[in-house]
Order: sequence, then C-alpha cells, then structure tokens
Amino acid sequence: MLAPTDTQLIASIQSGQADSVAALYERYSAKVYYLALRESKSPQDAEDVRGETFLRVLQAIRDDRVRSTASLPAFIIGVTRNVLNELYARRRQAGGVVQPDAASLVARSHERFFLDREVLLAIEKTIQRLKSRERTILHMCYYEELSTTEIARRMSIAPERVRLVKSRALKRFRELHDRMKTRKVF
Amino acid sequence: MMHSEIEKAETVERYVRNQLAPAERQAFEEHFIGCDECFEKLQAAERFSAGLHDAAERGLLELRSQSQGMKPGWFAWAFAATTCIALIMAGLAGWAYFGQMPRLRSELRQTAAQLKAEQQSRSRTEQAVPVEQAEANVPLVMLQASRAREEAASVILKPDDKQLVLWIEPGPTRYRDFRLDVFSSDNHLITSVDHLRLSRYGALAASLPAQQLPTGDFRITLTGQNPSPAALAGEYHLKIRRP
Repeated sequence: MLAPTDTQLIASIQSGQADSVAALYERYSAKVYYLALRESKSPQDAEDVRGETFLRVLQAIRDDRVRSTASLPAFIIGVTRNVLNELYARRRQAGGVVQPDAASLVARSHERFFLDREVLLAIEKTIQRLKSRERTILHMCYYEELSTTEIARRMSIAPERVRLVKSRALKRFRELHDRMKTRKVF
Repeated sequence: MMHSEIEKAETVERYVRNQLAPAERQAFEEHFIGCDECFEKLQAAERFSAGLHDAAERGLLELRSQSQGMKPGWFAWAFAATTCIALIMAGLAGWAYFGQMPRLRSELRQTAAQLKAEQQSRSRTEQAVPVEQAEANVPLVMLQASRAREEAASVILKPDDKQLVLWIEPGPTRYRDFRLDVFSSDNHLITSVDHLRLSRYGALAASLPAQQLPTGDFRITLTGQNPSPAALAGEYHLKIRRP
C-alpha cells in the first residue's frame, strides 16, 4: 500500500482523522528534530522545538492556513525556524549569547549527538582499511576542514580523486554502520 | 533542487560542514525536509563526519597510525632492513679503518715520497724550488674537511724541511683529477697544485714547497677538475708552526 501524499494527509487531518496526524508526525518528525538539534545544540530544546512546531503546523492545517500542499515542507521549515528564533530570544533574555545566525556558525558541537557506539565502531573499521594517503585526505577534509580543491593541490592529485576517496570511505562506513544497526535490532 | 545538482555541488557534505551560503542552505533544508533519500544521506554524512572528527582527535587518522591489529606496511620493513644493512656496513667500515690503520700509515709515507718525485718532474714551472736530494723524512699532514678553524690540522716545519706533503682522503667522488689551492689567512693565493690524482688507496698526496709556507693559518681548497664540470670537493684548514 502506497504511503499517502501530503495532500491526502492534509485532507485527512482536516476531516479529523487522528492516525493522519500520527502519519504526518512520523513523516517529518526526525527531520524537524535534526534541524532543531543542529541549531539549538541541545536535545531537550530540540524536543521542545519539535513539539511546538508540530502543534503549530497541525493548527495551521486545521485552520486551512497552509497555502498549498506542495508548500507543506517549506511551511514546516518556516515554523521550525520561527520556533527556534523564539527559543533564541528566550535564551537572550535569560542571559544566553547564542544568536540565530551565529548558532550555525559555531563549531559543530551537535556532532557529539551522532557519536554512538555503532558509529565509533564503524569508523574504526573503516579507517583500518584505508591506505595512509587516504587517511591523510580524510584528515585534511574532516579535521583540518580544507576544501576538495586545496586537498587536491597539496596532495598533487586531481580533485576527482579526493572525492572518490571520500565517497568510498563514506559508502564503506554506511555499510558497516547499517550492518551493526541491523544486528542490534534483531 | 535536483539530486544531480546536490551531488555535483557536494551539497550534503558542505551543509554538514556549515559551508553553504544562507540561500543555498535554506534551499537544501526545504528539499530534504520532503526527501527521505537526501535526509538519509545527510544523517549518514553527519555520523561519518562526527566519527572522523572524533577519530582524528584520538589520533586514529595519523599517517602512521598504529592502532591495534594494523600490520606495518612494506615501507616499515624496507626501513628496518636498510637500517640493519647500514649498521652492518658501519661495523665493517670501522673494522677496516681501525684494523688497517698501521699498515696504511706506513704505505702512505712510501707513496708520499714517490709522489714528490713525480711532481717535481711535472710541475717545474709552478714550483720554483729545485730539490737537490731526496729528503729522508718528509713532513706529512692529513687534512680533514671542516668549516671550523678550531679543527685545523697542524704541523711543525723544521728549518731544513724542503717539502710538506698534504694527505687528503676526499671520500667517494666522481672526479679523477683535482686541483689544490692554498690561501693565506688574508685570502691570498700562495700556491696551487694541478692534476692531482687519487692513489690506489683513494687518497691524494700534494707536495708543497716548505719555503712558501710561513708560520700561520692557511685555507686549502680541493677542486674536482675531471670530468667536468669542475666543482669544489672540499675545504681544509692548516696551521703551520716553525720552531
């Protein structure tokens, strides 16, 4: 059975069907949470932002304030940003210094939320299979934060080679990580 | 936003690294909020980036990372083998040098006397001092290449010394012929000896007229001449004292 489209979900929610609300939440929840976590750097605040965002989206759907179903994703993003701005305003009032634009420029401290046991194991196994030059390329990219062009220049290789090394390592990592997650679930 | 554009522009990775311009970032967010495939890629990229960043901080991305279970590469084995060979060669060289020294010194004096006679017949225009009889004990000094005047070789020339032999071991060289120039402490050229050839021991012996060498400090250069191009092969310092 095909998943309902956004148009169908909106129509169902407007007609009062509770399971459509759950379906909408399931479809967008992880994405809203990710955005909120990335910006707020706090799982608790991200949960609050997610909750507040869906409350407002559902209310807007019921009030028929969503312009078109095609714009639903952009609408959800917009609501998320508004809720985040209000969060920053509360933080400023409470003495915090994080500004909306500055939040995205701050060092990626949300990274630590992605470091679970499976990620650490998968990364170690991925690195073990890399040649020393490939490790150097990844070090330059992900730790020294150099661009692909700069890495290619320093290593005297083509930029495509740098991209290939990164994509192969990422692919290997994904395979290992997915395998570990599957083993954990079952 | 098309997937091909996202792929080509490395948008996912640049988003994770906060390298997108605000408009680009907004466009990508509005795309992945509705695209499960791109969102999955984004999550994987976040994990990958976080994992690598953490691994780099723990030193796992060092060039010669020696985490458990890694075998040394061919380079490590080659380096170890080369080091062993170098140590063995050094041992052999030390044995040859210190074991053979007494014999070499006696043969050196014989060669120096022979060379003196040969040079007298070849370089009469450069060396104006006629030698009426061979000297029994020709003073000889071994020169070591050094930039430091403090490490200069020294020799005492007696009044009746007619010649001084300079003994130089230039080491491995492509040159067959050398020229030796002697400069005073104020850089005046005192004398030169051309067409010096290595003996069978790999050494050069240059005989200089003692009367051209007053008490003082001298700088001596050795220039490889043949095959060309000529190049400086060594520089030496010499102190001459007279009683």
